[in-house]
Amino acid sequence: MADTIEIIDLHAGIEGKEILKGVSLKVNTGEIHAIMGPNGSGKSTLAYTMMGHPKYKLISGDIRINGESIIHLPPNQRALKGLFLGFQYPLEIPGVSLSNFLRISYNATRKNEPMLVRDFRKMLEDKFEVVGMDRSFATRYLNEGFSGGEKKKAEVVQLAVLRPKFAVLDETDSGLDIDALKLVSDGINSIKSSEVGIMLITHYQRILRYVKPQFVHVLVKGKVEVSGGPELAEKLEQEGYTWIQGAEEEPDSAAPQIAT
Amino acid sequence: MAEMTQQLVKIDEEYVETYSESKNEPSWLKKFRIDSLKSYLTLPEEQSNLYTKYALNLNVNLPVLEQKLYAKTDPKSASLGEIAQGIEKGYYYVSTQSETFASRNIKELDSKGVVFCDLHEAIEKHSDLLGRIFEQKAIPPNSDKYAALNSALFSSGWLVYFPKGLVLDTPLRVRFYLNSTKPYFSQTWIYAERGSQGALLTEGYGAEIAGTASELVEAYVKDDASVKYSNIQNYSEDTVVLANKKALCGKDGRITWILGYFGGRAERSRLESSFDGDGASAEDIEVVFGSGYQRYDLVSDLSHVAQHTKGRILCNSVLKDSSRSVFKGMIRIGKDAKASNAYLAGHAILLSPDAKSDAIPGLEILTNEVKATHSASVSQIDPDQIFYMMTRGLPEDESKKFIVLGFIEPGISRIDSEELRDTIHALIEAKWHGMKGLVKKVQKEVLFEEETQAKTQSKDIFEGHYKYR
Repeated sequence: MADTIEIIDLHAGIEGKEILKGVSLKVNTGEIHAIMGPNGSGKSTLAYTMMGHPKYKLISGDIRINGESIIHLPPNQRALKGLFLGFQYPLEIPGVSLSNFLRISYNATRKNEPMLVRDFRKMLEDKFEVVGMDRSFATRYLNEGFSGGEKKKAEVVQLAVLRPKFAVLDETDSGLDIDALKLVSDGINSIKSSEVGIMLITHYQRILRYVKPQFVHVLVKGKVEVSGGPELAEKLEQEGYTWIQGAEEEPDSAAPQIAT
Repeated sequence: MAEMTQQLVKIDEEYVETYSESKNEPSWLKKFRIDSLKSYLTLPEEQSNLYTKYALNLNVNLPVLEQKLYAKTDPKSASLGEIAQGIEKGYYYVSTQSETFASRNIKELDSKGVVFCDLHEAIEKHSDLLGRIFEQKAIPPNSDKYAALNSALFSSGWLVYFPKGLVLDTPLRVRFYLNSTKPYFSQTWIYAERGSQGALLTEGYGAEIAGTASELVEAYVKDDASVKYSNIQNYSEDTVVLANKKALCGKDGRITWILGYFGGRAERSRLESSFDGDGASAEDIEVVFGSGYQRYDLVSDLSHVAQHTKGRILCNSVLKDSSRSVFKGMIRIGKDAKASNAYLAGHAILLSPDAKSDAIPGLEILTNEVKATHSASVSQIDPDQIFYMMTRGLPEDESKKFIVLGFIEPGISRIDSEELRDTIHALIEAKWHGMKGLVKKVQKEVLFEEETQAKTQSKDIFEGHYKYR
């Protein structure tokens, strides 16, 4: 039976400003949902609120995994429930190698099936290969000195290793050249299965050529204004967002201030 | 009655003279001690607003020392056998204030021409070498009040000599355990002849006593020689530590300092790397993990005398509870030190609102065509880094711990002993959870899997633009 994450009439914001004004979505494992929308529509706020970033405050509504509310859980416990966030701007952690970090995370999220160091290393190398990253990144310090594209690929490697039930990928495609975009898409497609639900947050349509969503939702001013199938993404590609009521581009005020 | 008499002993010229004679020291050493005592008495008390600011109460003076001179060994302290735990191979000494144990294979060093011995043996067998060292004394007693005090009173010491061209891959080791409140004064001399390479790795632990440890370390790095000196200071949180260290580097000579400060109630450390020959270089990596009410007053200087010399200093401090640190560094580039390159960085992470840290870099440049960079920062752990790690399933406290471990990893990863790196990780783990004392049992569940590639990655850790660096 499929697992389900449900976002119910979510109102949330940052620093006293309400950004999400009643978002409702339902994602089952096995599905890919694209969340699109112009700048400032609340896409990243949705991602951070789902994961429980301390700066983002939930005003009302609920987020449930298989009917169980997760809004009072800290981010690590949401991760244990199977939620994953791929960061738009992954953080650098000097002195902690990618491989060590990921093994610790893996063992934290899968307490019942801890993996031996050697087996883990082998698995990690396979995942690196899918996104075209050199295995030497395993011993590099986490994201430190990685290029923008390498950071995004490393997020997909983490996703592939941790195999969450629900992956929220926040603009994993932004800042990538076409080759990197294909590799990142290969990585995402490699984890696609009946056991994972993907929410692909993107500003552009181009990643949807490689990762095919069954559902497309357009977020405008903190609300899902339009939902549809893959044909909606094509319509957006040709016509932009302006045909949707109220979807004129806004200044990027709600974009996350997480990058440093 | 006997004890009453003992307390009347004064540390004066006569005391120093009698001590030197009782140890059959050469007359030049006796004279050196007497002159050092004069310097100590003449040099003014150290004045620093930092001391007041950080209340670095050393409480080291002659009346205090006189009272402590005849202290007994702490009955609860560890035995040599317990202290030696974990050192399985290599050339090492294990020592307390009352006993010394040498590993059997130290004899093998003779055939290589390497000298590795304690003060007693140095005076007995290597008096000429010692004499040569004292003629060019890297830390002259009149240069620093506490170095002068140490020079008058040192009763313990280690002599290391690497002959011309010798490359010794295994680090020499000394593990010392302070087992008495009796003041401990030691000097360490490393003399590396032309083209030689070697390392000395030292550790200081101690019983839960109000001890006093004063350690002076000198490295004489001749042309093309390379010396690595590492020290882990983990005395009890009631012990006062005084340290003076200096390296004199000849042409293309290279000194590496790896220093970890974990113990002590207060430590006052003075370090200088001096480049007297063209192309000399230094790498100085210091890490501090303070907790409780610990105080660290650290100074590390680079003195560029000759051309094309290169110095690198990185001091990363983590301060918990009400601990405090000051890191002060001075880059001095003399008028003849053209094309020199200096980098000095002091960074601190504060884990509590009561913890404090200051980093004060300084520059004194008397010539053009040089590159000198310094950076300093004091911050809390970035909440976004914590969030990032938490999203991968790590609890908040674990996330913080890993960020902090990563922050001091540049120092720890350069310790040439897996067992000691494990001990340090266990030690940090213990300090993190507010536990005290010598960590005897190394946890088999190591935090960091060994990553040889990560350790040797050629990336220059000094010039990263990361916010803590």
